[in-house]
Amino acid sequence: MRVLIAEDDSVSRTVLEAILKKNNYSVLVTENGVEAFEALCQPDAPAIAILDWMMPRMTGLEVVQQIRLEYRERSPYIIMLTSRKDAQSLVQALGSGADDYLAKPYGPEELLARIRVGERMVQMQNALADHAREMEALAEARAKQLIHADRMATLGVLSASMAHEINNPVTFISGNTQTLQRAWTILTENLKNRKALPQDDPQISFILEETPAMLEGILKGVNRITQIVKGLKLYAHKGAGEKTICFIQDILKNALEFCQNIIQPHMEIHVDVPEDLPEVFVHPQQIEQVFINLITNAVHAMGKSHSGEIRIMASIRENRMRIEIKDKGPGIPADVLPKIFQPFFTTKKAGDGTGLGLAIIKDILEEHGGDLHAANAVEGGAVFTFHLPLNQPYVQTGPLHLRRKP
Amino acid sequence: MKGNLLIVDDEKEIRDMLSRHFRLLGYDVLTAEHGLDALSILQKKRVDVVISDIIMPEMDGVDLLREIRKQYPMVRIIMITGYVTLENALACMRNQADTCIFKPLNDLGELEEAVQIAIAAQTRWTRKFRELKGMKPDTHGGQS
Ligand SMILES: Nc1ncnc2c1ncn2[C@@H]1O[C@H](COP(=O)(O)OP(=O)(O)O)[C@@H](O)[C@H]1O
Ligand SMILES: [Mg+2]
Repeated sequence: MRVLIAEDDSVSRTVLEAILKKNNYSVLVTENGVEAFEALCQPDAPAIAILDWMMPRMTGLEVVQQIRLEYRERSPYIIMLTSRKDAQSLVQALGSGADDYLAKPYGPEELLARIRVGERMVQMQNALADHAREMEALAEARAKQLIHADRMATLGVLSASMAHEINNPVTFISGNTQTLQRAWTILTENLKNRKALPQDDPQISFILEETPAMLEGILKGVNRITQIVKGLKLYAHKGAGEKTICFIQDILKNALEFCQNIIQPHMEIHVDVPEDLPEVFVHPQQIEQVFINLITNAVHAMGKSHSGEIRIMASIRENRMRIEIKDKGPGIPADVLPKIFQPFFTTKKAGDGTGLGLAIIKDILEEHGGDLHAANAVEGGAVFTFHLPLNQPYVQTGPLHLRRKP
Repeated sequence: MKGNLLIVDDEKEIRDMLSRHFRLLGYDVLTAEHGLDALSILQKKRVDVVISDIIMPEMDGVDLLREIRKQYPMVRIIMITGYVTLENALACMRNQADTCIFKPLNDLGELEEAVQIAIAAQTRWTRKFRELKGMKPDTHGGQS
């Protein structure tokens, strides 16, 4: 441990330094109060200081007072050195903030004993500070988690009622527009057949031309709202259904079937799932949703590029099912990566994405006691990895082989 | 006339919208605000198909459905709901609704088709009963 000494008398200083060095302390030597104060203000200042009381320019007492005033948390252990032996001086030194008091002349044994007390105190203080920091970090993480959980819960409740409330107005916007579309066709056909459509008025021609597009525009908007509401409902109702024992292959097969119509012909899907994987205990529809959302995102990411490949791998790691979905898209930019699991975060243009996909499936996986992570593959493209707990502890031979046929 | 419809929904805009749509298609349309309202109309008017919302004040769609099944076996019922849950769908099926269609009805074609099917089924029964009316009572009894 490093020890600072401050002593203006050169003989006393040399003696003090010698004793400390002989006992394997590294010593920072200062010759007056100002030097000592400056040294103690440095971020890597020694944790123990031995200050002579009487020094020119700044006394040891003043150094103590100043240090205690300015550095409340990270404060050295200070031993005051003096030839004053009266009780009043002792009280004054300790009262000013010194931790210990050593009267001259002192024997080396006594000095060393007191430094060792100082070391103990410093160690204890450090441990306490570490502990406090840890607790603080823990509290912060917990608070973040709570805020997150709270937001999720609110969103869940909100979305159930909101979805319902939005549905009615959307119904009559949508319905009226569809009726109007029908009526418009009937009207224009009829007028055309009677040759009653005015040909000479550019404004009327414009209206005849543009009205169907306006109606289409409304319906497009309605469809978009419908998609969002569906997403929200899924978000709110994801808890529904029963958990059952099932094989991940079966769930994946259903998901791939469902995704058939969005997977482009030039995209290759590689499924690398060993035959003998053990069962998982899950809500099959929800895990299907997980696959569907991840595959959909991968397909979107690879977009119109000429080649495309999605690789789906399953394995057992530390008694959990680990599933990886890797694509050959552009990957996820570093500034986007931390946000992708937030509800409503999307980089897709309005109408193409709701930003709910990953938020929903992360929730689903966490409710299953699993997790979901996103990263970029070294060779390019995004990798989403999720884990699911197994139905029963996995024996290396594989529980399937152990099962006897009746 | 294509048929007589009764539309039951507590939201006026939806009643009006559906009413307009089916009148445009050539149906005769009546409307009601809730189940009780619908039952009192059924007492007075001829109705072939009821299109009913599920969640409504006074009397909800499922109770209306049960009541109609009891009192008017000839009347067909199509349920529409904005609150899509398995419970709602099951309640519709168990009480023998023709079908159950989810709002927001982004394709009114689905509802139109359901109405057509319902009317066709109803017409078939009506025809059978007409035939029956023309027959003598004993021709009916001595078959086996
Ligand atoms: N496979 C992927 N490759 C690159 N970016 C992705 C991938 N999957 C998701 N992302 C990014 O994460 C965002 C959020 O995804 P998601 O929650 O599914 O919502 P959405 O697909 O509706 O945008 C996407 O908009 C996209 O920026
Ligand atoms: Mg998505």
